[in-house]
Amino acid sequence: MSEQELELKKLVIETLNLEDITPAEIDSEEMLFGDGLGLDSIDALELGVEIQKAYGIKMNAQNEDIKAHFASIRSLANFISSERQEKRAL
Amino acid sequence: MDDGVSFSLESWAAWAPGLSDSVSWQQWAETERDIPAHEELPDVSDLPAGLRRRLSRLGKMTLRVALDAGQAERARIVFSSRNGNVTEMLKLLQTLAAGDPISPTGFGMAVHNSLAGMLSIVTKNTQSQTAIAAGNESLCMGMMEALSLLREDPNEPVLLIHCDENLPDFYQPFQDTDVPVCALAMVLSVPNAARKSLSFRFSGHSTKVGAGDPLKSFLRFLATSSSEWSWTGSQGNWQCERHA
Repeated sequence: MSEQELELKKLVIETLNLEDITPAEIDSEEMLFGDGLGLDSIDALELGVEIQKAYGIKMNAQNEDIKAHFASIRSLANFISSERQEKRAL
Repeated sequence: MDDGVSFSLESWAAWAPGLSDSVSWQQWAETERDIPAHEELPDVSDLPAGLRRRLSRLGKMTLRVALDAGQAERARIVFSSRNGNVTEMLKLLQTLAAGDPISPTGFGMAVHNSLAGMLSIVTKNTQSQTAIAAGNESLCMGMMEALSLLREDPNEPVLLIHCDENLPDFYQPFQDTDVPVCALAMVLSVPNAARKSLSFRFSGHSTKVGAGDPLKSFLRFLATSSSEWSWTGSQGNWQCERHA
């Protein structure tokens, strides 16, 4: 589990008030929504706001790729890393 | 004064720190004690985790008493509270004032009817819901609303839920000292042979100076066998009477 992934897991647990779940219990490749962790659409909005606050990355809900980015902790971590690199390059 | 509106109290449930069942409320009612104010959360482990994690203490209290009172799956719901989810509302306003993006969950939960909505999600109850905020007369206005609904359709019960949380320090000037951290749920129906009936009435005359929040004395009335409850708010005198 990368540093970024661990940090994200902590953010998910804290933001969504997931009682009794530790970062170690979340599989980085597990589905965040639906069958996996069982999050719903309001959770997605909530995470979008927190990610914006924590990393300064604005999630565009109209973006076609947004679903893929939110699929798992790993895909979200990759998305955040690449967005940050892009920002740095500007 | 007229005889008021008659009704039957099918059941009730209340929660406050340290007081979670009818026996403890009866013991409390026999003393002159205040409603306890220490930090404690109601047990809501029977609720789905996904829903539980979005509930504030006020939300947990509300759903606890609503489910304990029974008939939450089929009754029409009246939710009354002086201040509602004011703690969540304040957090939202402070976030807005700082120019930060607001929490979507916080936004959804800060509206006054959010807890009635959460209850309907848990119970899959699609009956009507009303949310009321009427200052220190919120409990009484909630009763009026519930009794009006019974008159409109006497065939189905009405679940009245009344609850309040501590007011944040930020709102200190509006603080009424004796608003307890407490939730009450009552299942009301039209008078029937199975139970003693009660009547609720209002007179526009203030017969004495208003004495703070009515919930504490009303709970004592419910938990003991006293025959009458009376309280004076800003609009006038409210009474509830138990018929022999």
